[in-house]
Amino acid sequence: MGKKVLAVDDSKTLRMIVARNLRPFGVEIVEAENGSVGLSKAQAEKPDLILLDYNMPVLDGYQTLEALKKDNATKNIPVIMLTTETVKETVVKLIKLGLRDFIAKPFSREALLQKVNPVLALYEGDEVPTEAQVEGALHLKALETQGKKTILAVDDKENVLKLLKEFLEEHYNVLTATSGQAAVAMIPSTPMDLLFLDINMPDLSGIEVFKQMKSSLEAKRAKVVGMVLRTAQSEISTAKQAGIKDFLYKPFTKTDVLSLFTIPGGDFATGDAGGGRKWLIPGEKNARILAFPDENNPGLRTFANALGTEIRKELNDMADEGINRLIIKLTPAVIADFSMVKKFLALLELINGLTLSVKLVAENDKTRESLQQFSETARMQTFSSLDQALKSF
Amino acid sequence: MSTNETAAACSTDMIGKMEVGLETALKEIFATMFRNEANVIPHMEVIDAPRISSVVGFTGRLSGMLGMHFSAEMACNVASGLLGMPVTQVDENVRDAIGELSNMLAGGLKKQLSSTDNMFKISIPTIVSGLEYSMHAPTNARQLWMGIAAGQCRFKIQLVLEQK
Repeated sequence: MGKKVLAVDDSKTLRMIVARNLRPFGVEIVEAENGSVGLSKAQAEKPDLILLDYNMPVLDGYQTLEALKKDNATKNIPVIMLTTETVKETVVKLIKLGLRDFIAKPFSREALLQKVNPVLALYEGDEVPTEAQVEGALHLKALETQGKKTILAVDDKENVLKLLKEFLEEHYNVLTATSGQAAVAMIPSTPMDLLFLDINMPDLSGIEVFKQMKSSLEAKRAKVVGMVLRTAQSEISTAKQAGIKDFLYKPFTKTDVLSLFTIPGGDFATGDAGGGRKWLIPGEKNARILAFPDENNPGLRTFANALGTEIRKELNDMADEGINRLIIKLTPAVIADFSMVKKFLALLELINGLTLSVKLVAENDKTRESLQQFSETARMQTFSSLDQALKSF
Repeated sequence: MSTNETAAACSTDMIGKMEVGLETALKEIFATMFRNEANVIPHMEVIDAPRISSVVGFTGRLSGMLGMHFSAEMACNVASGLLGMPVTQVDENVRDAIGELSNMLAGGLKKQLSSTDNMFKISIPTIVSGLEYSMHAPTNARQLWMGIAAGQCRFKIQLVLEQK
């Protein structure tokens, strides 16, 4: 399991230097700009190590260390101080308070790693691995994780990042960044397949990040999904003008997030999701995609309920808007139980009544076998992938 | 420190010590954080007018101000080196980076002067920027100017020491 480090320093530069040197080892960096924020984050995040600056406003390093050591929740977290303060008398006071070690500024990459390694065990032996060696080890680790695709999620709200991690980490490697600037620092050197990018961030907006990193993202062939409130029409419009085509609207559920992918662990399917349970995802060629969850998906019950209500309404709305191309991506869940079968049949009847042009996607044998139960689908074209279905329009 | 010792602290000898201390501290910063060599040059050779400066005050047995003065281009170069990413315009990152640089320089100077005595406390950095400005020391203060060359970077350091 990856380690977590809390970097407490009023200098964003220092926090970025720490992150740049530790992230390649798979370390998650949590940042705090002063001692007071540092105390809250230490309690909330329970990091494996705290790197603490001495000279800070609000609460200085000494006061912060004192408070950390008085709190049962944080007193056992090792603290290393990053400081220009090397007067022996001060250092002794800090050690008596429980400081684990200190790193004098300025520090080299090697000096930082040599001090943190006894706590974090990032590498074996005494010799600090070079950047090339670390990168090589990372590639090997990526292979070991069974070729999981990598997602980078960027949002200044940590609860959003927590949710995305929770929803996705079973099938994807999920990396996170808590600010636009951190994303700009990470993207060039981070292999990724998909970027979830909050549009509205205080330091650097998602749109600015996208503009600055566009060529880097294109070189990686990474897809980009903007995260924004569905009601923020002006931001959505600006993001679209900048070139962001796909969106995850806040608030979102696990179903919303997973519906963005062809299958769990699979590729991203173009479209929008979230922001109030939109079930039909816009696809290419003005088609709409209705994706059945897998049989074991926790959102299956919700989907089944929606089949009888919201999805029917969305199909009616779609037809009213003159959109008549529909792809239904099926899974064996279509015959999960009697209720699901009944609702699917009712849906097919509605679709016939709306005279929509429908393509079915059944990606595996089990799904194709399930479809055979329905004579109503015999006249519909069935494809083995979403891409093929879209191309056929 | 006695009154006589305080007076001596502001003598040419002390300015000389601080000059050596600054040079040593600067070389250490550039060697460790930039993997680059920094050298002192005559400050008149740094011809670009300053557009952004980082100023750190210090007070205690010695009191004064330490300023680092950059053109916009040089400030961006320095920030790029520290942050490990390209920086093309003066923004919050650049201001923060040169602020941290002056913080490290002041701390390094303090370490060079004494590791046992707490010679002074250092303030948090203040960033000054503009199209045309200059910084002047009080007439009764001692002042030192240094030019620095580190790779492609050229900038000035200004040390002002209060007469006590």
